[in-house]
Amino acid sequence: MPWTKSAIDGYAAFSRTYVTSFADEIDCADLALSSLVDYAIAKRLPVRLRYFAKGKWDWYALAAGSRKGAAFKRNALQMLGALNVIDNTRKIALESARPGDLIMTRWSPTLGHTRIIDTIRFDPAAGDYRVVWYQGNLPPVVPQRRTGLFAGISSVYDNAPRRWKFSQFDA
Amino acid sequence: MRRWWHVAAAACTLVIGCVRQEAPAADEPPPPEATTQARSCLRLDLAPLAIARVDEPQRRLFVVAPDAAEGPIAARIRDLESCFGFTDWSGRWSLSVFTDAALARYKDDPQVEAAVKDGRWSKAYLAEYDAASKTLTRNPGGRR
Repeated sequence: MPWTKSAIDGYAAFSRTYVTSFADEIDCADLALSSLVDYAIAKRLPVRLRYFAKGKWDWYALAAGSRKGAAFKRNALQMLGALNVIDNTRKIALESARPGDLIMTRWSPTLGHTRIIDTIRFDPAAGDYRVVWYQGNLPPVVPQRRTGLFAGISSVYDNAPRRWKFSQFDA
Repeated sequence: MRRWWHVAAAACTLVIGCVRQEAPAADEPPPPEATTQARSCLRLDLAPLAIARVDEPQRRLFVVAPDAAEGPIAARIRDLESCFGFTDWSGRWSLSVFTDAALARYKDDPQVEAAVKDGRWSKAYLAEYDAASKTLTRNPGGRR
């Protein structure tokens, strides 16, 4: 099954339930990756996540309907962090952001942060978008609920939310 | 005679509890004798470790260690396992070991933002112990 518009729309709803009900301690990037991979496994969708190692780009790939989903997820969570999430997402307009989209931070060449949007809506009184997000952390935590105006979120990468590059997963 | 019986019964309860705690399962409720408050375990002498802060909702102790030597850290983890085993934190607590109390915080805490950016926070984050999986991870603040 490919990542159709229906599948991508379904991910937004799935992610919201997933992160709000996640009951274990988890790192921030792992929460986003876990949500994506578990949705793909449940819907028999492919996932391709690119990473840079030994001087070149390479891929972690899970074929559609593969029975190796658990091993793929374990490997992806172990090997990939917030900076890899940035590499596998694209910048989107603030007004098009929705549940499951991400707000990323790149603090250094080795450390970043991942926030998963739960709700986002324009607040006319504040003149800004009011965001509710969930996040893992380091040290790992049971996902934390945070709220704030978008402009008040610290060190947002590219000053915009991001969305998984769903189109690359089918290639 | 009656008093002896009470002492013996109390001792048996303690032993049974200790044996049970050698292999607790994270998803099991605490044993019925788990009447000790988790907070009482925070009064243990953890030297050479020192508690920097406690995140009670996440059941996490942030501690400071003088160096990365694993022996003292492992020994204090055993002490804490024994104590928390009789509380509702049993199998559900974590220990985050740092070299500097000022840096012993979550990475998104504004108070450590400068140290996160320049790498001091990652270097100071020596180890992470997860009681649910009983794993000690060295240098957990690496590439994430």
